[in-house]
Formats: sequence, C-alpha cells, structure tokens
Amino acid sequence: MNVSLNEIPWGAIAPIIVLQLILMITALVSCIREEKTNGPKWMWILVILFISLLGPVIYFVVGRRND
Amino acid sequence: MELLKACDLAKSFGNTHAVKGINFHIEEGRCVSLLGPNGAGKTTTLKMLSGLLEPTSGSIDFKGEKAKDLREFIGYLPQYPAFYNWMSGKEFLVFAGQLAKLNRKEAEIRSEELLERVGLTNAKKRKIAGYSGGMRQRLGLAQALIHRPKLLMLDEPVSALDPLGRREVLDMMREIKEETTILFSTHVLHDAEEISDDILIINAGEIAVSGSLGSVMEKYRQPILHIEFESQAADWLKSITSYSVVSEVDIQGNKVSIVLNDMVNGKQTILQDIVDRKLPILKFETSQTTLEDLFMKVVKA
Amino acid sequence: MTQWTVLYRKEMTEMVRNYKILWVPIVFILLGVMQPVSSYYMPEILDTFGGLPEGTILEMPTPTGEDVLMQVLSNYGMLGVLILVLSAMGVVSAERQSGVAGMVMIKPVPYSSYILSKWAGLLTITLITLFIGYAASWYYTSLLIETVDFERIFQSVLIYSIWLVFVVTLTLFFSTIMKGNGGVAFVTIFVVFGLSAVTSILGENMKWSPAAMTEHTGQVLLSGEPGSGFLLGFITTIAIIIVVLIASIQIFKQKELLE
Repeated sequence: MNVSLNEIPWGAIAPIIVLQLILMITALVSCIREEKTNGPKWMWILVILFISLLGPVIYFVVGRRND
Repeated sequence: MELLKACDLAKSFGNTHAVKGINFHIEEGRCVSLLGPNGAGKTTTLKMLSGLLEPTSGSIDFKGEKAKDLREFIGYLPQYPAFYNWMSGKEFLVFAGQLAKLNRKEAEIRSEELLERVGLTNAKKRKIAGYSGGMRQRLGLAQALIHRPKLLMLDEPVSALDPLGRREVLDMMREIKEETTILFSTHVLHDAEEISDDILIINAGEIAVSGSLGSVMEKYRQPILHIEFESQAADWLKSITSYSVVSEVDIQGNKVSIVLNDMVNGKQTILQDIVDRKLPILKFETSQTTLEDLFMKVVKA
Repeated sequence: MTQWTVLYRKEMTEMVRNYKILWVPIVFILLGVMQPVSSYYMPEILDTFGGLPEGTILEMPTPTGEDVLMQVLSNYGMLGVLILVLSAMGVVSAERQSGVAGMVMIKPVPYSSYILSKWAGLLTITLITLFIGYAASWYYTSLLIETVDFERIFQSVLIYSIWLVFVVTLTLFFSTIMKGNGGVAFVTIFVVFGLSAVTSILGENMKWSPAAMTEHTGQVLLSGEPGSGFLLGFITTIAIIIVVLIASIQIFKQKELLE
C-alpha cells in the first residue's frame, strides 16, 4: 500500500517545494545578515529550517528587528 | 539682524507647565546656548521653535514675520538622532536632502560635501546599523545641514559622547558657526562657555538669565573667597553671615566659599576676623564667580 | 520629485531590503495553491494515510473550481489577514518608537505625505500579494479541477481587494495611534475578526459593513453577480477608508515625535 514515486504528480508538487525552499533560504539569508535578532540567532535558524512554511513566517514577523 | 523671536512661548502637557511663557530673540550669525538642568524645558523649547511641537500659547517670529512652518529654514539634530538603520550613511543623507526639497542631483552633491566635512566619507556606503555613537552624531549633524538651514538647532549635541567624540563635534560646531546661526541646548557649562556668543539660562520653564556671554559674566560676576581650614569652623562661619559685605556662605566640610559684595572691604573684614580668632587656615584664595556659580545659583533659587 | 514620491520610494526600497516583497507573496501563493492540491488529492491522501477501516466507501464529491477558490479566499481571510496585519503592524509605530519618524518630520514634509506614502506602500504590497497568490491558485485549480471563468475571477479579486485595503488601512490607523507593535496587531485583528463575525451573524442589517465585501466575493464566484446591497457596502467601505485615513493624518499631527 505504497504510493510509488512515479505516481506523485511532480509537475504540480515541484513548484510548491521550490517556493518553500525560496522562502526558507530568504529567511536564512535575512537572519544571518541581520546584525541582531530578537532572541538568539541559532534558535531562529533552527525554527526556519525545521518548521516548514510557518518557521520562516514567524521569523520574519517576530524575529526581525523593525528598523 | 534679528533672526528669530519667541513671544510668550508656552507649552503645557496636561497640568505640567513645561515652558511658562518665555521671551527671547536670536540674532543672525550668533551661536547661542540654551543652558539649563535636566527637565528645565530645553528640549520642549527647541521642539516648539523647530515646528515639531505646537506651542500651547505664544508666537514665533522668523525674520520679523509670524512664522507658519519654519522647518524649511531649520536644521535640527535631536538628542538621540535616529535613522533608517538599513540605509547607508549616504543614502540617508540623500533621502533627507530630497525631503528638504533638494532635487536628487543637488542632494547627492551636498551629501558628498557633508560626508567629507563630518569625516564619514570612508563609511558612506556602510549600513548605519554598524555606526558608532560618534558617527551617528556626525551623520545627524550632516542631515541637519543638508538644506543649508538659516538656523541650526542642536539638542544636547555632545552630552552622550565620549571625550574624543565630544571634541570632534565641538570643533565641527566651531566651523559651522562661521556660516550659520546656531542654537544649541546643553547642561554642560563648559561647552557653553567654550563656543557660544550668547547664553540663555532656562530653569523650571522660565528664562532666568540671558545676554551675550561677556555681558552676562560681567553683570553677574561677584568676588568670592575660597578658604580651607584645618578643622571645621562652623560657629564662626555662622556668625559672618550677618556681615553686610557677605552675601552668601557655602560650606563644604573644611572648605568654604564666601561670596562678597565688595572685595576690598570684605577681604579686610574676613582676614581680620581670622587673625583675631586665630582660626587655623590652610588656604585663602580670592577669585571671581564663574558661570558655574551663576548657574548653580539660578538653578537652586 | 515631491516628498511623497521620495517617501513612497523609501517604503518600496525598505520592503525589498527586508525581503517583505518576496516572502509575503510567496506565503500567499503557497496558501493559494495548497487548497486545490489538497482538494484534488484528498481521497488518495485519506486512502494512503487516513487509516480508514477496510471497506469504508468514500463518498467525497469532487468540489467545483468555484468551491476551491472560495476556500482559498476564506484561507486568505484568516491566515492571510493575520500575516498582512502582522507584517504591517509597525508601519508607523516602529518609526515613532525608534524616533526616525521625527527625523523625517523635522524636514518640511506635510504630515499627509508621510501617512499617505505609508498607505500607498501597504496598498502596493497587499495588492501585489493578493493578485499573484490568487492567480497562482486559479492556475492550479484549472490544472487540477476545472477552469473557472476568468471574468468571475477578475471581479471577485477586485471586490476582495477592497476588503484587504480596508484591513491594511485599519492597521495603519492603529499603528499611528498606538505605540507597541504587538498591541497594534492585537487591536486590528480583534476589530477585523469582530466585524467579520458580527457581519455574518447579523447579515441583513450589516449590508453596509466592509466585511460584507467578503460575502459578495463568494457570490460573484458562484453566480457571477454580487449579492444585493453591494453598492451600499462598496460606498460605505470606501467612505470608511477615507475617514480613517484622514483621522490617521490628524492624529499623527498631534503626536509628539522625538521624545
């Protein structure tokens, strides 16, 4: 009862994965280049890497300093 | 020529009267210091003059006319200048210049000029986020000058700086004062004495003393004796307050400062007393009251 | 170049430098395309991972394209609004807090230019985000489910954009009158969701409400025509937006800058 790899509709799924990756990389770049984040930087890097979609969003909203 | 005149300028916040109807004027080309202790109403006064704060009552004349919006003619450096930290120093200056109605090209040229002048040319492409306190203050000075204002207002321009940064900013102010009228606030007397032509001493929202530095010093100068004893001489010091030549006695441990109404007679009387009573003195010095003594007197009164 | 243009350009540059122009639209695209994808694969997903007992017959009508897009808009109405408000909450309050708003206003800048440049910046990002996200969603829906008439898409997104413009205008207002960013977001969200709830409960009596726009959006999608009372709602929403903007400017004038 396994979905075989070629049954997965890559045409539809691939763009979603790519966008998620872009989001994650953007957040990472922003986080690393930021002088100071709200809270420890390493924590934000973990949040961005391991919580998909929501992680980068939370970082952008809460982690970045507004100036 | 009179550049700016404040008439009965007052500001209240609720029940607190921060500035209580002050009158003064600023002559063109002078460097004026607004002196006062913290909370005297210096910043409030500056903000009203700059147009950032609406006065509760009173008016401001600029070049003899009732002023509506003075911001075009005024450069202002707040006590804690803030920037868009994601911009570079140059970007911020060009931005500020354009807000002050320069076109892009003028703003660029003027920015380069000022960066050179405040010594930030090497840092102009760096983000402001990485600037030190002294650099931020100098950038703040540059943005205030960007549109060649008629009047430059600086709120405590050197209070937050270390001695080196303070020296730099004071030297720059000395240069700028050749071109522009300056009004700056400070609670540090030394700075006021060093570069200002005129002083305004403000205390509890009112102007206590005003005039040119020289004339104020002249007018309020009083002879003073500094005496140091081997041991305390409180009894005698209490008794001399009744002498007509003595105007004030300030005791600090074994030291005392006696403000006199008349140096010649006063010195005679006091010395005579010391000899008669065989008071054990270590030091006896005559001098004149300084701006600091005047300031302390005004503030304590 | 007017000071308004200088300020608006600064807003846009800032959004590029802090990646807002990238991440907000991406989030909306993802929210938009995940709906059609999950609707399409739902039976298979349930089949594979759902652990349903053997023999269960799945009676799952395939949703129409309109249903899917309505679901997308409903996601935008919750998560989307949340993200927009959170990303815009500091628009004025953060600049007042840092003191840089004072640095701008000591230059001869009209108070209205400052607020309106902020508003235009918010409008730009909001509309770009909504249009791109919705277009992506429409594309995926036609790919996986069925094509929805373009005219309906176009009209519905226009109507929906009025609601979002209202939401960001309100965010700007609270950001002007309040100081803490968190408080701004909280109050705005509270008002927006409260208005939505009251509008859907009272229905008939709330035709003027900006939140009624979201209902008209659904009706345009389903029937091609907005519901009754659309014009009333449209006019009051625009009027409220204008009044809120004017109030923001007036209040901003009274605020003490550079404390």
